[in-house]
Amino acid sequence: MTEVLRILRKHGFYYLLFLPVAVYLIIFKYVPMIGIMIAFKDVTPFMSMGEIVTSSFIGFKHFVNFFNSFFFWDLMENTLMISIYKTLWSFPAPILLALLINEVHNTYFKRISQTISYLPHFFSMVIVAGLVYVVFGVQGGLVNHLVVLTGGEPQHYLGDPRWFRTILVGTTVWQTVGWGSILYLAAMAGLNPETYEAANIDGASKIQQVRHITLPGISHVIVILFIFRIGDLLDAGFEQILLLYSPSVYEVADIIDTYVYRAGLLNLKYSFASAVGLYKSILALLLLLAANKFAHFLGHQGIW
Amino acid sequence: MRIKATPMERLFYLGNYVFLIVVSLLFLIPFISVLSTSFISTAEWARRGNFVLIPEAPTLEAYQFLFGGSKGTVFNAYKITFFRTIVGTVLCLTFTGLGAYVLARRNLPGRTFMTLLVFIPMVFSGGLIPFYLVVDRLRLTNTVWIMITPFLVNPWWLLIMRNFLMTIPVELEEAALMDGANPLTVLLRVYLPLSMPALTTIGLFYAVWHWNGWFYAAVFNSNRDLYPIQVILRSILYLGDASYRGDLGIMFEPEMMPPAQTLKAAMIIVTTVPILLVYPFIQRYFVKGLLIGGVKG
Amino acid sequence: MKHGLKYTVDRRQFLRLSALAASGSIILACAPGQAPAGGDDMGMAEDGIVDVYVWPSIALVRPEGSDPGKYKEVQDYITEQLGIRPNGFVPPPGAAGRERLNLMLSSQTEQLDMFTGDWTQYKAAIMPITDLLEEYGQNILTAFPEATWSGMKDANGDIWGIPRLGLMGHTWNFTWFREDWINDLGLPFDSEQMTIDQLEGNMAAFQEANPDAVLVTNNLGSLEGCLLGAWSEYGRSRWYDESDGQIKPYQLQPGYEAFVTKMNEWWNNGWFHKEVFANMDFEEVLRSGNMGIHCGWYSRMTILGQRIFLEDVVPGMDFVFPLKMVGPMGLAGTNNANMTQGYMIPANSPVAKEVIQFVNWQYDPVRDNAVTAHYGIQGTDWDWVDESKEQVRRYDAEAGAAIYAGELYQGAGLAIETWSAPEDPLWGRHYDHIKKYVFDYSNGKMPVDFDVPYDGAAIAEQVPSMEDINRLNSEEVIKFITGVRPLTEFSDFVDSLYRAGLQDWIDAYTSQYVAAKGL
Repeated sequence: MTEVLRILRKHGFYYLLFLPVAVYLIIFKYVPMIGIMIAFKDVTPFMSMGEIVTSSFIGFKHFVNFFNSFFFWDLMENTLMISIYKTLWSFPAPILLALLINEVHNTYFKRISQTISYLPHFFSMVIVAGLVYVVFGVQGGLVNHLVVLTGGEPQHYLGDPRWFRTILVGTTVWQTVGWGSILYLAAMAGLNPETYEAANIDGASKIQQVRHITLPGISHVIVILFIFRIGDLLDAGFEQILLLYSPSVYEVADIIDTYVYRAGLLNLKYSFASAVGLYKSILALLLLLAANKFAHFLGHQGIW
Repeated sequence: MRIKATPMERLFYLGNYVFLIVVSLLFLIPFISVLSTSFISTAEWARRGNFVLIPEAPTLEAYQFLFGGSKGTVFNAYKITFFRTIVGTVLCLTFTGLGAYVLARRNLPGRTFMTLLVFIPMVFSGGLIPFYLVVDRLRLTNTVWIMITPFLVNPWWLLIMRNFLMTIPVELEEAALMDGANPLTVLLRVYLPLSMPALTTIGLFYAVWHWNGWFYAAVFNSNRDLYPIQVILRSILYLGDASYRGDLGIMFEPEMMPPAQTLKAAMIIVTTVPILLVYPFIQRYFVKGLLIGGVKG
Repeated sequence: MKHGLKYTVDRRQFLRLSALAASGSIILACAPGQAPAGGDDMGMAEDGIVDVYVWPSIALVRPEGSDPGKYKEVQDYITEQLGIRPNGFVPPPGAAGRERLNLMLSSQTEQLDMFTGDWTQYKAAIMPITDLLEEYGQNILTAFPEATWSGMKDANGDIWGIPRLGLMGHTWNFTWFREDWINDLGLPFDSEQMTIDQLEGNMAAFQEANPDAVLVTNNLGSLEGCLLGAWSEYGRSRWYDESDGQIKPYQLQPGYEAFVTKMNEWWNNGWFHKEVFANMDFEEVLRSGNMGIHCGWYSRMTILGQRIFLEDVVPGMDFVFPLKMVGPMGLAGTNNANMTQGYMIPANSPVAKEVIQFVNWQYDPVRDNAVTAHYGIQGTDWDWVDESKEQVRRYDAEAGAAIYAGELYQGAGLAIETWSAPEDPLWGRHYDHIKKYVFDYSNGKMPVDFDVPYDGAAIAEQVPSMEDINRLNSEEVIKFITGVRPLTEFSDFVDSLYRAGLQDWIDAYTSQYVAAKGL
């Protein structure tokens, strides 16, 4: 008891500061979590909350339906592969861009190029999709224009399973690289210029400085963002794919989210959608725990 | 003082500039195309199609349509957006900053538990209906607070903020405490100034999130006077977009004349330009290492 | 550690911070006030006038909604006429609109008295309206032909909604030919009837004259709706297999493979636009001037096309269609059996009677009321062009005019829609088309089960793999047509349908069909 009092006396101020956050989280995040039970019931979208709570549990029916889906493994593979490709390209790209922008000494050039680089972040996905058609369209698309000029046959890139994922990844890098670099630039701003000066005097090369000063200095951001990215692996970019795909590329493009969207669209399958959502959450949790463990193993601060 | 660059370094800087210019063009050209499209007439668009770089006969037709006449819709939506962005960002930053500050204290008993409390909602959520019922029970629906109060903390950004704060040396706090400062003073006068780069960055993230946000404002509200500008944008953008309507949608939509691309383009410009202007202003908070000021002493 | 540490909050920063806080509180003070929520005053208001709340039936004339003053004006006018005050909503954009609607229906925190959708999906949440229609809805009842009402009835004969689409004729999917090319090349065309052979001949001639000429459609379903009947007995329709007494999907029909084979032949001829089954931008293709034939949805031509024709983007370009296309197995087109779309009243609505009265008012055969609910006040927002009341002249379309966007309009549907058309070259063609062909079912094959009231919710429950079947059907058939998969594997495709759960599908539909037909 005195122990509790001692802790409270010493740290009470900080608990008090945290209180609003805790209250917020409990009300707006934890209370609605009772909705998770929808995954284990047969709920239609016009049942009242009372009916949802009192309706009987039906076990894992919706999970089993999903696992038994003809395309289950296809969907898993597409979701993970698209996500992994995207991570491989769009995770390092902002770090690289931030490093390059950081080496610019002209303040105006720095600000302007940085501001321009995140323009695409403000385009909603419909606009981006529209631009993708302009670039890759068969008739009059910019790429096909070049293909024809060099004597080739126009290709339908968006309908071609060999090209579709490349277009997805490229679009994602284009749209996220500038915005993603902001956090890294902020972290670089916190680094001590004296360290660089000392390194310069010691004759360290640019590459050595990046390796031994800049990267370690921003590693806390890199690591936590990487952990988050791993936890996000099952979100392969729903809206982007929905706007760009078509039946000809389903085999490489149909992901869990687009499948559930189509399945639920006409039939209002709320419980089914919840079950798939919960399944994704559990996988995400496992991935996050693994990534966190790995971060600790490398000696970094992870999530906790 | 900078030491004179070697030829190799000069080459690198030159290459760097060239590369950044090329990349910038890739980002800029689509934006210019949208800008140009917003300045052409419907007739010119019908003739020239969806990719226009230089208007032949520039006109303000689309903007006049958006802002003209007696309709206050766009202005009203701007008002809502500005309100939610400014107030929302200030509140979000306060909550997130406090939470991150507490979680960054390495010696705080119960810190892991508190981190878990933040972490779990990152993975699990109860879906839309229960969330709506909570929000409705608190009488937030059909008020402007529906866009602010339920979204005070983004757990991801809180944890990133915490990691930033953990890079601030503990010695600074110890020294201040020895000087007789109380915890509140330490927070306001040591941590707050030192975390300006992180605060402004996370603040920018919140501001842009609020600026771009439309879903909850649209789906939790019946009062169209509370629609922010993004809802108006999307109403115009998504009208006539088949992939969002599904098979039933295209069955019978006699009024589904998709608006001319010029109108969509003007709407995009109207909704993006104000928020684009914010970043250059806050950029100066992290061009120079503010952290250094503290340690030099 | 040195003690000469300087705290780095300088005064400037502190002032800036407090200024920010101060401006924040000022903004807080002038926050947009609590707006009256839709459901705060359920039912009767103080003035004895009943409020009804309706969800818009179609995309609004202006997606962001009416100007507030104009909206009030229309609302007041109707209240004065009826003693019932209608209230509308501005639905959120895109798919969010449906999301909002479902949320309102499930949370029941706000009053909602009428909405649209597929009634078989919503049956658990709505009320039957047979008696209400009998008592308060005579205008509505007489506005639709009997065949259309059958789509709104359950197995007991109860009516659950007011029809929106009804039974749709083949009129929606037509085969459109490039008129100016037909004339220039002296090719055969008959506005009554054309054959598949003639289509092939014309397309070949088009391509000879212009190597870039293409045939387009909206999606696989449109192509099937236009042409499948030419090679199969029932066209694009579920069919009853006498041999085993089961209802089956049209993909299993004798002749479907022949259709796919023919389409593959056309694809190999280079007739189809390459993006036709993907993200083809219809307007962009039209604008290129290379479209020779369009098999598909009428409004692509009457609305999207008309805008481009009017601008004369490609000089002389226009399209014509024959009423009937015929092939070896007769009519090529299939009438659309989708008829469960309707206007419904939620089961908990306190003002069901008043909603029906309000909608009945819109169905007044004098026609003024429907246009009022759609376009606003007669005389200021619109007027009839002449006494025949066939054409509407809209004044609010003029630049700068305050607009009423049609939030209260609950009449979109095949009845009212055919009454009048806007006097506008852009819209004229469209309404003219609907008026002429909407109730003409003679140009396509009639689905065998068009009058069976399937319970959509029960079918969804019995066929958990519905989406697997749908995906296989679109994905694999397109592969066959485009030659990605050889036609020799067609029977493997049918096997995979069964592996994906097609028998559940067949059983679900068969049991309901058998029950309805009393077999």
